Amino acid sequence: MNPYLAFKNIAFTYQVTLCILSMGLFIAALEDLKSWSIFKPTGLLSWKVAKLSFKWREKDLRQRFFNLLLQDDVFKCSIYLRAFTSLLLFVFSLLNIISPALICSVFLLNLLMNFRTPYGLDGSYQMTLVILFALSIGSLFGVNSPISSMCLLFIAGELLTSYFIAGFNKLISPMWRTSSALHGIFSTRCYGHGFFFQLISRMQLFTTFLSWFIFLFEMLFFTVLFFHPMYTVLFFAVGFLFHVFNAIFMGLNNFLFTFSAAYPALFYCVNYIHGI
Amino acid sequence: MILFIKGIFCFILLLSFLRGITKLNFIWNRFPMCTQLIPGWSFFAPTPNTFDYHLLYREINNQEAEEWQDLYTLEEKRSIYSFFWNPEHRFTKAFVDLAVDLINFSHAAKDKRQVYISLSYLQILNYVDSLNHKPSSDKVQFLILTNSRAHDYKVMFLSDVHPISKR
Repeated sequence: MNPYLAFKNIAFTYQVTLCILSMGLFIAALEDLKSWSIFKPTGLLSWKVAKLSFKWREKDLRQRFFNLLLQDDVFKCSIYLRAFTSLLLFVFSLLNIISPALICSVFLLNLLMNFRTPYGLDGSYQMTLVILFALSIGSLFGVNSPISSMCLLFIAGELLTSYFIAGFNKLISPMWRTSSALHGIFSTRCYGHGFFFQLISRMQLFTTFLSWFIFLFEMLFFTVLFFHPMYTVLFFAVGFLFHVFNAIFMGLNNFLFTFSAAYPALFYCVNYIHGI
Repeated sequence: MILFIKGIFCFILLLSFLRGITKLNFIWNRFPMCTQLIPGWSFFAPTPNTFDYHLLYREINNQEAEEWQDLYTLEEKRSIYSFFWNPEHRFTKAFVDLAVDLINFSHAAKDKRQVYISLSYLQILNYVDSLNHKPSSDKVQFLILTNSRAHDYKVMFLSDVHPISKR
């Protein structure tokens, strides 16, 4: 049997998605616990300051509840809970158990991060929310329901949109069409890498080739829909290597898990379009 | 029900597509809640951040300013495990977001006092104010510098002088 045919099955696609995603979520939750000091009242993202951006009304019960949820002690508990539920999600996915309550809980716990402060969150967090939002709805209506299938198509749609928009915005940027964007990014210590910066500084032509490769790959990723599912793996291999590269040389470890977790949904989508 | 959920998904997809168009940013500035819930996918584009940001502060004692102290320094090399485990990324990303927000707002704001009550300014000030200061110091000031492996240091933002909170 061809491996791609396995992704015709919605339950199997859910299982693989949740397995990959839960690993990333568990690591992200542990990373938040490790860097807890930034959330403290003395930290860079303290709630006592962040809450000033809301218009608080003393008598509003919803706001009081919200404030309670986001204050330090409760918020720290929510991160512990995120780590625990992510671990549970991983175990459940291995045992082929899809629990709507668990998926919804993980989604809501992750959503809290955004309400506390959007500073410090990145694209991998957004993809996490997209996947969890879709899988929560899908699992609530039953994994084999037509809505569940639609949820996987939505995740695939967001994945293709993300690559296409990122590629298009790079194509229209003069910085990206020359080698200066890559050169600039890798010259930083926050996203760059000393060895890779030295390498691309010496090889101008290679850097320009790499820039064009990145945005052409991102822009043309959607063409996976027009190919037979047996070729989908090739697109995924390039995408996966791209995220591995970003994890190693840019420190974007969470992207590797969240974007890889969206690939099974795209596999399902390609099968769906080709009527397999 | 199926049609309703299909509609919601299509609407979110459309909005996330529109969020990628930089010319429509004025819409998202009017509805900041949308930017939190609708994904935007313009990673490092069209203009990527090509600088590191550094936070420095100094204590002031009776009009006498002390030396600037580096509060946030980036390691030259990330740990070899960072492709898998990178807890420093949260602080780095948070500080870059705050610094970029503050610098952009300080350029755009017509009234300087608006900058001093912006969220990014207050977050950084609170962080600097919460440090252990010398008992003799009564005021504090912070500074944001940029540099990279290709560019030298450049001052991007200098805060006002603020009294240190009593603890």
